[in-house]
Parts: sequence; C-alpha cells; structure tokens
Amino acid sequence: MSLASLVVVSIYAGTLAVILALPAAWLGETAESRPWWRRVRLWATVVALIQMAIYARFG
Amino acid sequence: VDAVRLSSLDLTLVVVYLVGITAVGLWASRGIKSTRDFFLAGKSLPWWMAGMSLVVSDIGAKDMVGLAGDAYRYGIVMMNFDFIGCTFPLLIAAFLFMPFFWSSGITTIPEYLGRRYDLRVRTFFAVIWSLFMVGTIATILVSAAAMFEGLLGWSFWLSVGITCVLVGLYTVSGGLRAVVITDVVSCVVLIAGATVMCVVGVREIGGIGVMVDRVSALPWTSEHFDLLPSSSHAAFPWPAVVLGLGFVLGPAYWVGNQAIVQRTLGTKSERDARASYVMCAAIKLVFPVLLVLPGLLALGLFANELGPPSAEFDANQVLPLMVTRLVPSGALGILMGAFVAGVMANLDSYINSASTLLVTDLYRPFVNPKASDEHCLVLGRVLVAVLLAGGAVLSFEVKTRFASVFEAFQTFLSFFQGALFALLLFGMLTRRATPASGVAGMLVGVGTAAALNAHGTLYLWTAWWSFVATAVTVVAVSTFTEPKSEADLRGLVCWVRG
Repeated sequence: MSLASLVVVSIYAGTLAVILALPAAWLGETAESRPWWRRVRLWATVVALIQMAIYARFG
Repeated sequence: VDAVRLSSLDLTLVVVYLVGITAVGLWASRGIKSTRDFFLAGKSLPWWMAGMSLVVSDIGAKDMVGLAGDAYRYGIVMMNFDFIGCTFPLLIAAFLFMPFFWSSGITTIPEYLGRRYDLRVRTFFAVIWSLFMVGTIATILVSAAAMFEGLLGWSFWLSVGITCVLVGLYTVSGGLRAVVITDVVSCVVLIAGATVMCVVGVREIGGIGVMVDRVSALPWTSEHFDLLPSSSHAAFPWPAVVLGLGFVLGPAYWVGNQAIVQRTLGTKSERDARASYVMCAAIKLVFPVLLVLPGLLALGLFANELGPPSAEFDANQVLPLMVTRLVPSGALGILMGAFVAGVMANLDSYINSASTLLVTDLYRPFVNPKASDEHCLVLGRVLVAVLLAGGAVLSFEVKTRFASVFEAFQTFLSFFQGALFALLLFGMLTRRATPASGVAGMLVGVGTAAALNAHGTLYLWTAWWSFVATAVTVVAVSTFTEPKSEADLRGLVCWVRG
C-alpha cells in the first residue's frame, strides 16, 4: 500500500473510530429504540469500510 | 460531434418526463401556509427523500458532461470528488454538524454564523452565497437551453422560457417540499440514465478488462488508474487532494452550502437529518463509477479521434460523442431524461435556497425586522419568480462566454470556502471562539485565498491555506478578545447543548 493510500485509509479509520465511539444515547440509538439494521451508525460503518477498501486497492 | 437525432420514442420519453415532473411538483405544493412550510417543508421530510434530494442538488447535467471529460483527461482521480470530497465530509457532517444544526432550529447557515459570531459575519456570507446562487441559476439556464436547442431544436429564449415556467410552477407554489419530491424522481432518472451510458459503453468495448488494457496502452495515461496520483501530478497531487478537497472544499460544500444543507434542515427529526447524509454517502459510492467510467470508455473507444488532452482539447465533447455514436433509440430518451432531470433538480434547489437566504438573512434583519410570517411567505414566492426572471435575463449575457463565466463563479466561491469551513468548525467545537475572531478570521482567510489565487496557486492548495490562515487568526484573536456568554452559546456549540 502506498503512503497516499495509507493516509486516506487512516483518515477513514479514524472517522469510523469516532463514529463507533459516540455514545448510543447521544445518537438516540439505544438497544430498545430500533432494530440493529435500522441504525444509522451501522450504515455509516459500511460506507466507511467500503471507502477504505477502495482506497487500499486503487490509491 | 454530430447533432443528436431523437426518435419519436425518445422525444416522447423526454416530454413525458417534463410534464410528469411538473405535475408531481404541483401535486406536492398543497398546504403551504407559512415560511416554515415553504423554506423547510414544515420540517416534515423523511430521511430517504432528503438523502436522494441531496444527491441531485449536487450532481447535475454539467457534472455528467464535465466529469466524463475530466476522466478522459486525468483518469480515476476524478472519483475523489465523490469519494473523499463527499463521503468523508458526509460522514463527519452526519454525526457532528447536521443533527446539531437541525436541533438549533436555524433556517440558513449564515443565520447560524450570525448567532454564533455576529451580524457582520452573517451578512458577509449571505451576500456571497446570494451572488453565487444568482450566477449559478444563470449558468444552469444556459446549460438547459443548450440541451433543448440540441435535442428539440428550440431557440435559446424558448428553451429558457419553458424551463423557467416548468420549474417556477412548482417551486413558487410548493417551496422545499415540492423541490425535494421532484428531486427524488430526478435522482432515479439520473441513475438510470448514467447506468444506460455505462452499460452501452462497456458492451461496445467488450468488457472492463479490455478498456483497462486499451487505456493503459496509450502513451499519456500512466496515472489514469491511480486514485491518488503522485505528489508531482500537475493538477491533482495527492496531498492537495487529501488536504484541499477532503478537509476543506468537501466539508465546506456539504456543511456550508445553503442549497445542500436546506433539505436536511427540513427533515422531521434529528435522526432523519443524520440518516439523510448517510444515505447520500451510500449513493455517492456508486456515482463516481457512473460519471467517470464514460470518460475512460471514450479513451478506449475514441482516443484516435479525440486525441491526447492538449491545451486546445475540449473536454466537453467527450460525453456527447459517446451519446451520438453509441446510445440506441429508446435508451437515448432515458439518457436525455437524465440530463433534463439533472438541470431541473439543480435549478429548483438553487432558486429555493437563494430565496430563503434573501428573506431570512437580508430582508428580515435589514429591511423589515417586523415583517409578519405571511408577508415573508409571499415575498419568498415572489423572489422565486424574480430570481428565475433575473437568471433568465443574466443567462443571455452568460451564454456568450459560458465557460469563462462558469469558471469565474467557481473561482469566486473558492475564495470563501476555507474561511467558511474554519469558522463553522471553530464555532461549533469551541466556546472560546469570539465574535471579533470570526470577523478577523473571515477577512484574513478571504485575503489569503485572493492573494494565492493571484499568484496562480493550485485551487486545492488555495482552499487549504486559506482554511489554515482563518484557523490561526481565530485562535490568535480569541486569546485576547471576549467570548460570548454560555447563555448566548446555548444550542450553538457542541458542548453547550440547548
């Protein structure tokens, strides 16, 4: 992986870490509030992981 | 490039789309009783509608044509405008900025800046965005006219007039709700049209592998398949892409552009505001492929005809050449529908948002602070019509030098993006940023951008350094000036929630 790829993948990894670290209550997504597949954080994680894969492969 | 020959089937599809989208817009216009209904859709939009509207408020016909041309010239690096220039800021905005803006109850971004800093900062950015939007409306009308002239043989004024009437019909009466509902339809048509272009091109060349082999064999394409080109790349060195596009221009656009942010402010809950941005980010994973692939396919198919991208190379002819040579009847109608969708969705978004800015940030504070809500609603509607008429008049002037005027508006906006994003970031993240630091940071940031631009610096670097200059100024000036009280900052700073 090139330096450029590493930098961008790290940026997305950092963003993902912040998103995952946010308290569920702060997002209004406690265990009772909605099923796991309707949680915004899950879909944001999917988007971030896809971007990391793309930059790791083509960066 | 040969003229496009539409069959009666294609023509029917385009006309059905035009009539249908206007009817949908008019249907969505019922029940508008207040400025909250008109400017913010009564805060009733679901996340998926706002998310799809975000996509087509950003991507229009000019992006389809422009990105294909730039992909021919530079390769897959252009995907960064939708990847790190969109998905990264969208994810950040989804969890940091948007829920916060939504709950603070603002209608416009300059309104937030005014409450967080002072009236001078609010007015400065309201004027800048209003000017930019009027210019953008004129350039969109010119692209619409060029399209209708080419497709249907209409004259310039007939094309501009019909576009204004159709968009005006539902935007004047229905405000943001009508805009967003028509945008949902446009988003589907835009994706369908772009997909048609890619499928036809890939079939013609014989597969993606063949395309890669043919493009790689050309002598000027050594970095065409590098998403992050080397730091010596003439136009897009990777450090400038990451810092200028990813950290400044992208976030400033997705957090500070009223035409973008307004549909999210109109969502029905804080969660919907957040989800709309994540949905937009998900769709944006697909669009770079749909918009950049035609340019690469053109390289594989027509490189001998189009030639290497020299100084005289006209990048805007790449997509029209693909369309005229490859797309069959029927599919052409869908593709043309996508172009029309792109134009109308862009136009209605900018008109609605320009009207919102003028009423909220200039008319109410300066002209008539005691104006009733009914009065402002009528004014908002009148302004939509005036903006359309003004854009139509201005479009004739723009038409004669379209490329240079469009570029001038983009350059003009790039002077303010670094300063805008730095002020939003510091304003939201720290209670220590003072009103005086906001004014000083704005002036230093814009001054830095103007100086760098005059020096001929790459615009990605200009955006980055103006952001840095604003940030340093805000920190420095805030150390010796008085911040606002905690009560004044309630609901405006992340750590001081309302």
